[in-house]
Amino acid sequence: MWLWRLFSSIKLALALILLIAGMSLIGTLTSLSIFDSIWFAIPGCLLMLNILICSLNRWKGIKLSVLGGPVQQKESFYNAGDNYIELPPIRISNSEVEKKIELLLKSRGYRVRSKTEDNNMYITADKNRYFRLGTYLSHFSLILFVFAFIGGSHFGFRIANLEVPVGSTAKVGQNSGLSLQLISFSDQYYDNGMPKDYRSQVVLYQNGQEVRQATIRVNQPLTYGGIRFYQAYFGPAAELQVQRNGSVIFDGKVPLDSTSVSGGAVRYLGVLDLQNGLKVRLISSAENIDDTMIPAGQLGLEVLQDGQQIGLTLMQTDTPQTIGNLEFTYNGESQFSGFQVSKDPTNTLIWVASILFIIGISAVLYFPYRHIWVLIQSGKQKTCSVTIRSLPSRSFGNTTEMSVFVTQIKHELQIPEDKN
Amino acid sequence: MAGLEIFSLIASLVCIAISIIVSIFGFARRGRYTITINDKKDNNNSKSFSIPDIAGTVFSALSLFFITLTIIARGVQTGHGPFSNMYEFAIAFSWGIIAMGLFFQWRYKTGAVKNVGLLVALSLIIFAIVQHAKPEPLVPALQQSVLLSCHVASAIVAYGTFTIGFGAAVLFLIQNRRKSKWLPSAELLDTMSYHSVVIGFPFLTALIILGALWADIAWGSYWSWDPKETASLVTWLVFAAYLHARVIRGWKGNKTALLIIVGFAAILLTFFGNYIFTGLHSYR
Repeated sequence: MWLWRLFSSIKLALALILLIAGMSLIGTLTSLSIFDSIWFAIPGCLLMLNILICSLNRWKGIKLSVLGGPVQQKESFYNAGDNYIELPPIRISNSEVEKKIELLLKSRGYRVRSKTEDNNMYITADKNRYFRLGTYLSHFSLILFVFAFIGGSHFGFRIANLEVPVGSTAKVGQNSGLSLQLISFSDQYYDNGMPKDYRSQVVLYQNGQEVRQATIRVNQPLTYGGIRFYQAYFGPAAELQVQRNGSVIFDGKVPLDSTSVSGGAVRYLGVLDLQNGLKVRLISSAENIDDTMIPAGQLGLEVLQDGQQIGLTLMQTDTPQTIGNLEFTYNGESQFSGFQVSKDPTNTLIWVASILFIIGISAVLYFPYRHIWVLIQSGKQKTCSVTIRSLPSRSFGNTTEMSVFVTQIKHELQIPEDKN
Repeated sequence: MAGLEIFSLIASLVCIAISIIVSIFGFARRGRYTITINDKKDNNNSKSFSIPDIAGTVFSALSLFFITLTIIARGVQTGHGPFSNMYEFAIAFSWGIIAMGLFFQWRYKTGAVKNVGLLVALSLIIFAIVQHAKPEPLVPALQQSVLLSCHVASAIVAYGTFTIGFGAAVLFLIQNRRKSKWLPSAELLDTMSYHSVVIGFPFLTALIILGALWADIAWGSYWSWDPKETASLVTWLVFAAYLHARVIRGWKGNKTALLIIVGFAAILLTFFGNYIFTGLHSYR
């Protein structure tokens, strides 16, 4: 079937690999979001199919070489292909020649099998035959990676911004029953101002029960039940109380998680959603900056109803202010820590695939499979002629391996080297 | 230590330059400065030594020594391997090139390919001197020395060998046209470039995988299509294509040599990529 033949062709594999490489290059150089697109997925899927069919097609040959295969081949086999050599006739008995060749092959680490039939002697010798299976390890782990990638995005979840102010608790959601409490956060710097360490002291609860206490740092995530919490970012938070007609509708800390730059002043910005279209924007000035609009230690408040500004004020700590029917109290500055939370059930799969991948590639490349076939024929006047063929002829270093081996044999059998 | 670092860096630059000049000189006046030692018993078994060849080897070995010294002196100051900025990478990269160049010279008894590598190493050392950065402490994401050291060590081996493979591929393309008797045979050059990919490819794979595993620990995601990540994937794909192309009849030779050159260009794009794009690898 032509389709099967197409997908078992290594030329197709080459074309697809180069196509994917070219597309990735375009994706790198431009900011096109090519990697999520169908145009990237199609050649990827075709390549996977290609790998599967090529693997199936090669199985017969690889199985044969792993199990051993026949010792004897047709006479025409020995001088076919492009990597064989016929030694000039020699005046030594063929059993002695066979013994010498076998010894030499064994000393070079080959497994040797031989057979005698009708005055002809056949030797077959191979090396690293089990390492041939490495090709399956590497190619199948590539497919595993793809499955892990798809599986991870289907069966796992990723929350990029779980923000928890100091002293507060935030729910993780995703039916996990987990909530994370931030006890303290500290950011440390070197003398030159470069960041040194970010650490969040946390307590993890499941359905209200404390299950874990930990310090989360960059490179040191907290793992619980397959869910991992990463230190991602941090920032200031404002402690605010809001009352409507005398009853408290919000009392807590609001993360100021975005920044805005206007007129050279950097400001931190946070939004408190009080529902029914009522939103409060909180603005504070960044440290060490002389901000004329919002002096240090004060908080700018903008109240919006359905996107329309209904009030704008500047707050000092512990001095309540009223906008409409709302009374705001600013209780001071605090900090929040931002976590990335993810659950990836394919985590172990990725580690396994990674290890298999490297083992497979190293096996194939560092322990190349070699196979040498020798035919010893007895000729007239007690001479014998030797034909040696090496397979696979296009495998790395096989020509070198073959020429070293042939030089050694010639030396053993005292055949003078050719001058050319 | 800072003084030793600068001194040995300059010394390595000088040694590389001398090695290149001596080799060019040797090529130009091939056969002039050779000493022949005759074996008294066997007249056929005489050995000849080319003085420029020996001097070239000695100076490239010396340059390797000085780069090693630079890396050690730097490591004493920073307390970690050469993995925090482009200055340190460039020095480590050229260490890999010269080390692999000497290995291939020893293995294949020809220094021609190493000399192309030396040109690349020379440019990298000059780049490092221009870029020179004072030792700086590690930001939190880089404080993962085990994975990071392995990640960078793989990069040194992989990029070093591929640069040698690139040298062999360039000489192959020249040799295939010119049939120069001063250069190694096209067949040997082809074997050398293939051998370089065989050695380097598992390290390139390990480089990318270690990077992905570390990214997962530091940032919570194996792969984020960050430009430097993607550029390294392109490099990997090109060399994977090379390994498969070798098996196709009619591809061995010019086409595969071109693939290696494209692969090397991808390495340069990956290496200098953080000057072009921003992303997670946005150090200078």
